[in-house]
Amino acid sequence: MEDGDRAEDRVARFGALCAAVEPGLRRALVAAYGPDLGSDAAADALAWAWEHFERVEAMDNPAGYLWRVGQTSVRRAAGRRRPWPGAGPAADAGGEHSYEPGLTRALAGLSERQRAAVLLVHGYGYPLAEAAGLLGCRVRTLRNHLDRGLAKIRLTLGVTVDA
Amino acid sequence: MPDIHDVADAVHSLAEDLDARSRPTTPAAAMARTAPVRRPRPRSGRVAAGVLAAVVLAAVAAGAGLTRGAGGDGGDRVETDQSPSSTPAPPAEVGTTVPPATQLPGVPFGDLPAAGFADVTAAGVVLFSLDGTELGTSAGWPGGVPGRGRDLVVLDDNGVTKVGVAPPDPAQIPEGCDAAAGAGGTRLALCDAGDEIVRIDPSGAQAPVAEAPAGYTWSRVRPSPDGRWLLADATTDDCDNGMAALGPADGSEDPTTLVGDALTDGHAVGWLPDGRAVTQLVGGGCGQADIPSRVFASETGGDDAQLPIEPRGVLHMWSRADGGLGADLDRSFLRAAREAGLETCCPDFVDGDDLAAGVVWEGSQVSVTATAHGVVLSTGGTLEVASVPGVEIGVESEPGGRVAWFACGDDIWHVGGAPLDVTDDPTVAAVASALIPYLYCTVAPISG
Repeated sequence: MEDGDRAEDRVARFGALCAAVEPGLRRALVAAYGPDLGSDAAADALAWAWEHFERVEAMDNPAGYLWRVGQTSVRRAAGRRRPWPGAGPAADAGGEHSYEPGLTRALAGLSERQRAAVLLVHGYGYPLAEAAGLLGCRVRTLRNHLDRGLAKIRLTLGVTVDA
Repeated sequence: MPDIHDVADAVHSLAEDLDARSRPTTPAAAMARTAPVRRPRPRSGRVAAGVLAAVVLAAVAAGAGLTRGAGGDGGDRVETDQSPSSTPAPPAEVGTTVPPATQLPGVPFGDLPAAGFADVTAAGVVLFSLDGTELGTSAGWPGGVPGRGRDLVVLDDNGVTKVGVAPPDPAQIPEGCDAAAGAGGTRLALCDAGDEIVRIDPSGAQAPVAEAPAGYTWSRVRPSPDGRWLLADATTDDCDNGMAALGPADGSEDPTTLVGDALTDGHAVGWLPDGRAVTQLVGGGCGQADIPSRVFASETGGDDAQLPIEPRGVLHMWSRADGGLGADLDRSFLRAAREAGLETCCPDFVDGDDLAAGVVWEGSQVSVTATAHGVVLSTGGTLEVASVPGVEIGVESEPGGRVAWFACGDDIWHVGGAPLDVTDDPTVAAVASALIPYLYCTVAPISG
């Protein structure tokens, strides 16, 4: 009975952890690796979190650690050289989407961390500190990724006006 | 031409689309999914806990309407939203399979030296020995032209000599960093988005070594063969102009620029076995007039010499991959054994998850195995303080002798035990201590 209660409590606490970290973790990994690889990586990272729940629960920043677990999962599944699929071919063709033509190509030219930083902050509107936590880095580092990512996007798209 | 507001709106719109196309993971799905890690066999207590959790999980899953995949192969995958994928099949992991490579016709693999230079252009590659002798040429790059910072590898692919991009350095990349490299007992990493080069000890202790010069970002760093120096590449933030710098790996002095500045584009090629740093002046930089390409070998003391190579493209280092490429753990072990001066032996007799190997230590054959992404489940053995500062290892009894183990990054290494020679505490601790400085990972503390 006591074991059963403990197990149920563990499940409940894991549910709370998932509710707290899953959306941001998935968005970060999807931003970095695309919807398919990123979603799978988030699922793998959370599966790992369940298997090592006591360790993960004790972490100051479980989302930042699970981001690394997700990165490892992607590396194991797809290797180090991965094209970023972005929003698919339709995006750059302008078809059903309202994107600036070439945005997917511009984002594909960024490093994974730069892409994740740009999309988390400017796409999803995460505050800098929260986005830095999701990527397991300091705010200063996130700012560097952002600045360099945006600079590359502007260069690729021919944007000359500073934000 | 779009303005910045168009871009911001487009990024936001694209993020919403990515959100719609991603697949959320529920807690139940995460619990039902098998994590992508290898684990040692659980101890009986954990089995009981696992069974209990599975019972609770089954109830939770039923309540959540979770449906398991029908594959029946252990339940690795849980059905979530399976929207059609537009992702092309990704390329295979470099380092575990033969990478896209270009053939070197008429170049017998057995005749090649251990390493050399490669003049890389979009049209192909010209292979040189380290003394500048031309060895062969090939046309085309099926996997794309190698980036400037990549070394090349030459391998024997079923009797055909091929050249391709070498696997990345298997050194563990610390959190918050983007790349790492190890040599000569020194691990260096590019951190803070390329703003800083950091040195990391096996204990995990970090020390800043060099900040990127103003207007530049570090893009690659390589320790010298003796581990005392670093050779780093940096690029300008505005026009990707390259420069190469040389400095002490302990950060006692700022690195000195060898090639590349506001008017010229240069990069670090690599280290010669004699400890000289090779750099290439590629041409005029940032839209400046073209200038002839030149290659230099610089002694750490400061003397430079021009090498008799005039590349048409970008010069890379190549090395011979005898016996294929191997996975990260294999390459980590072979490098560690080589740098520690240990003879390797007897992998056919050793049973290991991801690495099965052995070394010869004072006449005894000592097994070395490793499990990628393993989890330590100690049976309560003793702790040994390795002869590496800040590092401790566990020593336990297993059939066939005493076994030392330690967590090295995400991997678990075991030294000693069956089926090789029976080993004792001093032997397994000594072999582990000899290898650890050259595995270029952080050995996690065991106590506490």
